[in-house]
Amino acid sequence: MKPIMLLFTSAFLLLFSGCVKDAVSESYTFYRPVYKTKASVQNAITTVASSLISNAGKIVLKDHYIFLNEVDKGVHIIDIANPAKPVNLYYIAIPGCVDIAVNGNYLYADCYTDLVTIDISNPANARLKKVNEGVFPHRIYNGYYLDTTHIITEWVKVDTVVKSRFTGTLTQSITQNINLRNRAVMDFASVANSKAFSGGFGVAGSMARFALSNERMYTVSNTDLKVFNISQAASPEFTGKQALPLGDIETIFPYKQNLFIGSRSGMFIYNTINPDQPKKLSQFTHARSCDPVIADDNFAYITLWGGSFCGGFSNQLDIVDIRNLSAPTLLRTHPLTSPKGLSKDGDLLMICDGNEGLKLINVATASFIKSVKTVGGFEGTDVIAYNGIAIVTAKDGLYCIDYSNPEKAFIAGKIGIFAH
Amino acid sequence: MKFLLFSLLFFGIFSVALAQKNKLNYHIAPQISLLNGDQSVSGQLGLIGVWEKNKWGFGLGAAIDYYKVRTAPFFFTSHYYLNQSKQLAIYASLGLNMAWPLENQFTNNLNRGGWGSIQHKGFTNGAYADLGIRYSLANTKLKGLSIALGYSMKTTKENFTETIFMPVIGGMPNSIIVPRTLEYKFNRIAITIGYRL
Repeated sequence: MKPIMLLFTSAFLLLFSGCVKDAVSESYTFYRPVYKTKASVQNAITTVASSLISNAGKIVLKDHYIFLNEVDKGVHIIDIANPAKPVNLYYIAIPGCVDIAVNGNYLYADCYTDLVTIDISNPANARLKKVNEGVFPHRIYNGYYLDTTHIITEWVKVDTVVKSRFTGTLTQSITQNINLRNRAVMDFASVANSKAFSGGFGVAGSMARFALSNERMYTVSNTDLKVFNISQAASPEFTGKQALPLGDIETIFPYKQNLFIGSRSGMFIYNTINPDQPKKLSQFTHARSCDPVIADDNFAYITLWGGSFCGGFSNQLDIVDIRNLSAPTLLRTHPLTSPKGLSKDGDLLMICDGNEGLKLINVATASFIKSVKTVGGFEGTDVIAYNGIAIVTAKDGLYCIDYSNPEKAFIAGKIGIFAH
Repeated sequence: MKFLLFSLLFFGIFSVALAQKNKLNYHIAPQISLLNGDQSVSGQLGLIGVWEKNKWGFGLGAAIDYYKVRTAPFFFTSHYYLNQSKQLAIYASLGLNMAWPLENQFTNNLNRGGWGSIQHKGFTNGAYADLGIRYSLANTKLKGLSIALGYSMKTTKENFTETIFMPVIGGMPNSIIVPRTLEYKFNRIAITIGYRL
């Protein structure tokens, strides 16, 4: 028996030695881009029937129309002539669009690395007028360097499994090619919210990176400020750019001859006396966080949203004295829950404060602010306060809030957002 | 650990009592295994209890398996004697591989890119199986040492939740939480020495 046992043992070792390879199956999710040619995308930039809102971005108010960005896909045109019954009228497909501005009868939008100008004199028949190619080179997906002829039009969620041999121990790196996973650089959008524009400009919501002022459009990327001459509204011309300090730029707000630029670590004030070459006047540093900013003659209002991807943990309103634009100083701080977009109408400051809704605060005396009313029931992102109606983008819809009597502000109307 | 030791003790006492009650030929056998795997060698400590009738044996077993990630297999086992002297047998086991990792056995450096975060959620149980041939060096009462050679396999799954961002460049962050898993299958050649009590 012993020779048989020995023979069997040897055969077993030889036959099965190849079986002792460990295996690991990694299951994960990533997004895969879908490409189209630039020509086909630009040909498709036109008005189509209204589309469901699924991922609301920036907002601009022009007359009784709201232009609502569908992040990375296009722009909804919503009629709020009757705030109690807002109507989603049209949709303009603009792949890669995250920022918009309205100048008279023209809509400016980014289309990935390009700036497109669209004639909206008849919203039912929007027409592409001009393309400024390559003016937003920062609009490149992380790890994706698009060529000049193709555009990513959508991303498809893919669940996948990768199998491989596992020779290491569990504390060592898994060696799958994770570079296949595609994530984009996330730039937090910013605010431009003003009623100080001339009549032809739309009122931008508080999460935009485009700002219109003095026949110029100013745009910010993470690291620079660009200037476009829009004296010919149908044909904007890129005139130049300058680097911005610190990086992580988020928002730009124009007020009179100044630009208030918000970054994750502070606010910068630029003067536009020479509109093509804004000049830095000063900067105000705060704790790291997301920070939309608006301003009036005397004060800048900055919301700090911590605990987010911006970093930091401060959740508050900073009121900064800017009577001396060269030396802004912190006047006071007011604690909030999770503040995002804000807007101001007269003495009334409105702040989207996380899931607490929209907070109305009287700032007639900036050093002694007084809470007036909180309209709850939604998680607001951005707000435009205009003529007694606050238009608020929220996770679950676009709200019209009547604040003509601030102490009795109420939700007048809503368009729902559909989960994606 | 206490739970495992108490379980093994309880299992031993219970199985002896059951064998006496049913008048079956019963034995228990502690065993130790050398596990030769994929660029790794480790060990396993176990205990099986078997009821025998004629050439067949059926039983239960439990072990502590230290190969790459510590686990505790609980399994059904069976064997069949190939000769009259009952010295040579083939055996097979199948059961649950209970995850019981050491603190330094978590994968904590998964490669990833871009924004987001990965949270380790722990391990989930898998399957355990082994089969092979066993030769008994026992005396006529079949007590004593045995040596076995077999193929052993165990699986376990390491679970994570991962926050990934939908690929937008601007706008508010749009993140989703998705599961991410590493499902391991470990294959080993097992050389086992047991002692039949």
